[in-house]
Amino acid sequence: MELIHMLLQKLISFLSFDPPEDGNQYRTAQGTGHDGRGRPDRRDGTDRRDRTDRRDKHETQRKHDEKPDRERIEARRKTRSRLKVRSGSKVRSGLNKMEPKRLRGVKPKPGFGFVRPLVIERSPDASSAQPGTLPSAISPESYLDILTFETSSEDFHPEDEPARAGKCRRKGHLHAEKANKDETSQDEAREDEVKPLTNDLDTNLEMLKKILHYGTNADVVVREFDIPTEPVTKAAIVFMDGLAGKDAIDFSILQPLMLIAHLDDKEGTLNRLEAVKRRLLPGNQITESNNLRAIIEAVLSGATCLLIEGSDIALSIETRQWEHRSIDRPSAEMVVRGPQEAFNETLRSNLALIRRRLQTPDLITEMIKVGTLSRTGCAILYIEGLTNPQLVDEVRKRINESKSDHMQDTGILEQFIEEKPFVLAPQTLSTERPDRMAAFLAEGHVGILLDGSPFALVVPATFWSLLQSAEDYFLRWPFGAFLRIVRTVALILAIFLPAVYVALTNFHPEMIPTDLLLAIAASREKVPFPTVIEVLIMEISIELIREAGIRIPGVIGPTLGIVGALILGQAAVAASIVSPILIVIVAITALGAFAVPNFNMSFAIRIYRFVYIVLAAALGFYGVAVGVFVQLVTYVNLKSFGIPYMSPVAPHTRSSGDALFRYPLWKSETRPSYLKPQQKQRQPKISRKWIGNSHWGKVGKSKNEKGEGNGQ
Amino acid sequence: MGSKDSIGTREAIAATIYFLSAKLLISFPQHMAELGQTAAWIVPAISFATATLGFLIIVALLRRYPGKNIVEASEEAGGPIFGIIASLGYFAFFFATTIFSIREFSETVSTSLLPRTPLSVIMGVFIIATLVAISAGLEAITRASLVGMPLIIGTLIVLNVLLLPQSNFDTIFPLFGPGIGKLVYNGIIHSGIAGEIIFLCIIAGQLNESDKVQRMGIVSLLVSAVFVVVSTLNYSAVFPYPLSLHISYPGYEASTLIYMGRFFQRVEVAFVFLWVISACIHLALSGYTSAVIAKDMLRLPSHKPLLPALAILQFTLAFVPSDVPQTTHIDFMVVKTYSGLLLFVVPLILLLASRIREGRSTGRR
Repeated sequence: MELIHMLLQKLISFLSFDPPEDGNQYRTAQGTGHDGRGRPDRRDGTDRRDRTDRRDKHETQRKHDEKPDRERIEARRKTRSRLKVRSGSKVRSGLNKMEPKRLRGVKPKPGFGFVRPLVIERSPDASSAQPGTLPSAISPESYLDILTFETSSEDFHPEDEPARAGKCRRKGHLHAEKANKDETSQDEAREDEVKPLTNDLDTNLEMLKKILHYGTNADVVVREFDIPTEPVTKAAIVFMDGLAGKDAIDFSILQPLMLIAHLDDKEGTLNRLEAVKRRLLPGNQITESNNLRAIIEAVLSGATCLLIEGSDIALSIETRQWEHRSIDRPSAEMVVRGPQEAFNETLRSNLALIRRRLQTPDLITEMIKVGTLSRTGCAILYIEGLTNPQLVDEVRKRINESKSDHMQDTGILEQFIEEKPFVLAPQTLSTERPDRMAAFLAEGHVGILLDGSPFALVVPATFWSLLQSAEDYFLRWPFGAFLRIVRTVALILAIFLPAVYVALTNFHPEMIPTDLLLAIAASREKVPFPTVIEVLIMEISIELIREAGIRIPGVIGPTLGIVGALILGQAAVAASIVSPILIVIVAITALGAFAVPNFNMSFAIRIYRFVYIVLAAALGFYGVAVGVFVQLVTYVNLKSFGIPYMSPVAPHTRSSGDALFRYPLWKSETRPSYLKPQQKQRQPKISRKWIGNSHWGKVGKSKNEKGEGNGQ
Repeated sequence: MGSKDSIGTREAIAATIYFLSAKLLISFPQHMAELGQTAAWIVPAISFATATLGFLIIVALLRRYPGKNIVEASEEAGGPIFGIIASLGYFAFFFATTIFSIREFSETVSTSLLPRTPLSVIMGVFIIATLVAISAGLEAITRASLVGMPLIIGTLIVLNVLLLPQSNFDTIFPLFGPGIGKLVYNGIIHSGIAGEIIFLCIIAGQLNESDKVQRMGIVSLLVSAVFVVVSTLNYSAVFPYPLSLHISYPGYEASTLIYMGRFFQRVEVAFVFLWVISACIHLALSGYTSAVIAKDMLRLPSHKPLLPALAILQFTLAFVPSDVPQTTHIDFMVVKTYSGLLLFVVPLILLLASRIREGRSTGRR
């Protein structure tokens, strides 16, 4: 085995074009050129070297970079001598020039496989440095290496590997699990690393410029200036053009610092920053940070970072101001009666819209970054003391453990956090209405918002909640209940009507009343296709019109309606492609699908409809009935964030009956018990206390006084 | 959040009612007429009453072994050999029930909905659908029962109400048919027609409120008895004895007689649609129960590996009876006749054995 292992390592080293220096080191992931999943390895020495070369090239091209090249080379040399590579117990200093730069400060962990996690070994000098400061000898380049390096603080236990391998029987599974573990450890390491600034402004700026690709990246603005103290204090601001408000920077940062600054010379270096913060910056939100990652995140989100000579702390000043859409009317969840505001693409505005409706200090907004590249802000909303903490933990865990490079919409996030991706039923509820989100939060649900997405997610979702509309509650209860019944009928029609038509005409014509049967037969006389083909032609046509209607440019949108109506309504019948009765069937089906308030549910229904058409064509009502049974079993077996999908019907749990039907609001005294909220009671048992106390009469007086039932 | 199977009281009762009542959809009333003649409805009443007594005996046995189901309790009480024999008996009952039910439901579908479709296709689709449900687990099946409960209740109520114009209750006389003695004898001997109540004792360990098994069982037996007795009575009134001996599917035949004006005609298809769903639930329950008993006997961690083998066996064995009369005869006159003895007498023996053993051990001390 040892021999095979060695031979394989030789082969991999050879393939990686990375000449090994001494036989027992660096023949791991650094040399393979792949990260174990077939992707080019970013840790690969050659790749890294190229990137560094490019960065150096840009560096030399920058005219305004005043630091002489010789100095930087000297600093880099010093750093190299301090960051030593250790392998096993041996400490090796100095590096071969052929050796990739990526390898510095890295040792392969002992363990299994050829792709091994990497660990940075800092020199004693570096590790002994005071927290919050960087050893002066570490150059920006090497520091950047450390920052961008994927490190792992976890110990790797080769003895655990066989057990783990035993669990994962499939090879691919094992591979994927290992890759996932590596990625997780890398992310943890990135999060955990707190990289401090130095007291030297030039060094700090250098690091920031490197990371932000200053020079290449036209959006990055670095403005260096002097604060008029005696002696002059050098300072600089860094911000992203387009994300930060220029007026705020000019009048609230630069003007006070450059024109009206009169800092007392007696104040020490550390107090200078404090004085700037306390006396000179009128910005309403200022955050201190000595962590590179935090500073960069702030700059990338639109804040302005102020760096001052002699201070190892930077100030992130709130200057976020970018173009965004104003709050508009809902486009997918319109109501006649009720609020007419919808979420937009700005997370802060969306949170404000919700908070305005839930003015309680217990409404908690937890912020998480999702997407390794996009670093999109994700907000988890819940009400402390009401929402089930286990549910919040589950949501937090799933979002934290969803790893992808780019998550720009809740539609993408939803696919990462849902339980069963292969079931058609939507397992989260998306809404663009802040009032609806507030109502769900008040019930004990958890809300998820993503920066840049005008749709928020509500979890857990139940089947019944996907058939409900915000308007159900804004109308008087009989009207709301009626709407729910109409919607349920619409759902049934949208799924089953074409299938029932196929089953009846093909297998059970005896069920059709004689007159209707004769009418159908007469209308189908000239149609050459079997019923199922006829139905499929029409359903596919409807789907085409629907899809085209969404994709078509707005100017020619009305044309589509005319074309669609002509094709479906007249031409198809006149050409004897379909029978007139089928037009009615398909039109009712389409209307039924449109009446379903949830967009995702509507999609599911459209697909289910085709499945049922096929079942009906093959086995008639029997096929449809078996399909219903399988769908029923699938739905009752489904869970959304651990909550049964068909709650509160199956399993039966205590609730205020707000599922298929809607009862009077004053009777809805409890929150849904399937959510296991910390506060079960929504309102007191007697919520309309005025009854009996009203000076207008004795409405309900006797009941209320006795405290019977709901007392209403 | 929670991932363990948990069966609520309502779900368990709904599933048991399905299990006990779905036989109404097949040839059960015909065989009751065979046994009770004009008093066909009295036979299931007596059988259900006897089964209730038997159920109480089983619950008494279960109480001696808290947290265990009937298979485990039988092995504890009767020792490994007798326990295995008892478990084999339970397995044979549920497995046979599944086989004959598949055949009978498939024949019903073939007769009423798909006369030109091969029986094997209908049977295969039933088996695939039930396999999906059994794979999903007991939680899914019982919840599906709860959601589908209004279907079977609604169907039976609507059917019985709509049949009232066709009913002639003079035909149920003489009230005691062949005589009280014969009725009681037949009712007791055929107590196996409510033998599915043991299902509750098999899933006892998975119930949220396992201490309420007795109450659940009695409620299920009572509700099912009402459905079965009323429906059998109504069928007897629609198809008087001896005509009832020649009607294989009285439920289906009766639904064809429903007349609601010119527009609504031949509504039996709608009823069959609902019955198919009920049949699927019934088959899933019986298939699951037999698989779980087999799993417990073989001491396997999961019942899922057994499913393909059991499904193939069911599919094959369901074709063994040559025709529908033979199938129903074996089911009701053999399986349901002698199963009562096995299902209710064996637990009584086990209970006595357990008590005697306990008495001996107390005496020794």
